[in-house]
Amino acid sequence: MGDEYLTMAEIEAKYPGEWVLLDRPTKDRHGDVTGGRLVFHQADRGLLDAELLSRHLREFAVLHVYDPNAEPVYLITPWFEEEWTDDSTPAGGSSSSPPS
Amino acid sequence: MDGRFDTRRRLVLLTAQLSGPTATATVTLAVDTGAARSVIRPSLLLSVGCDPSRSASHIRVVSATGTERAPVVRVDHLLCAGTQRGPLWVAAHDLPSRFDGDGLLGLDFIRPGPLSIDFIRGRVFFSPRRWWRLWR
Repeated sequence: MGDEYLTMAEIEAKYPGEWVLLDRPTKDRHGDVTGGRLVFHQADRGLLDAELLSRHLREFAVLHVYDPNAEPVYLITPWFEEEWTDDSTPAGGSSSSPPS
Repeated sequence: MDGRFDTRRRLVLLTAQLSGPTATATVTLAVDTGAARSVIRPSLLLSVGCDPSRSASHIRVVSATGTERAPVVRVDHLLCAGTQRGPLWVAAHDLPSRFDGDGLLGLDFIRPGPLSIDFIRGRVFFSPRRWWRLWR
């Protein structure tokens, strides 16, 4: 893949239902992505993650292109229980721990 | 990144900017008032320089398929719908590969302010709307 610059309209037309990784994305005044250098595209999220980790991009965008024909996916929210730290420091008890 | 979302999608998916020590990423997060803490895929956190394997803090994540332990990592800031929070402690946890987002925007991001969702126009606001300020 030659890291070709594509606009969002081109990406949406070419890769419906796929994940795309863009290097140095261009944005509009609202901060929404208008295009970028296409580094990788793939329907399998795991493969995109592997590609993402193999590169060391300083500014990038990961987007899933909408596919109107895709089967709907329902997501059940995970439930978080109490926090703890490996060193038994109470959560929020030090600057290296998250606030409770 | 001004809070607009695609009303064709089943979830409220917002574009957000995730900043870590080494990189900045534009990601997609689902607004989830059922999640106490924001969740982001570990691969993305690692890519911006927030290594979940080095985290000393963890939380227990209970889902439909069981209970897992997830690292909590500090991100420099998260910018979404014109609102920036940071530093923010987010859970690094994998989400189903068929979920078309990179994470969940939880109450740790949402709660400090009001939340309004306009499902007709496809807009989310984390700051008081003008009518609310006038009414108060």
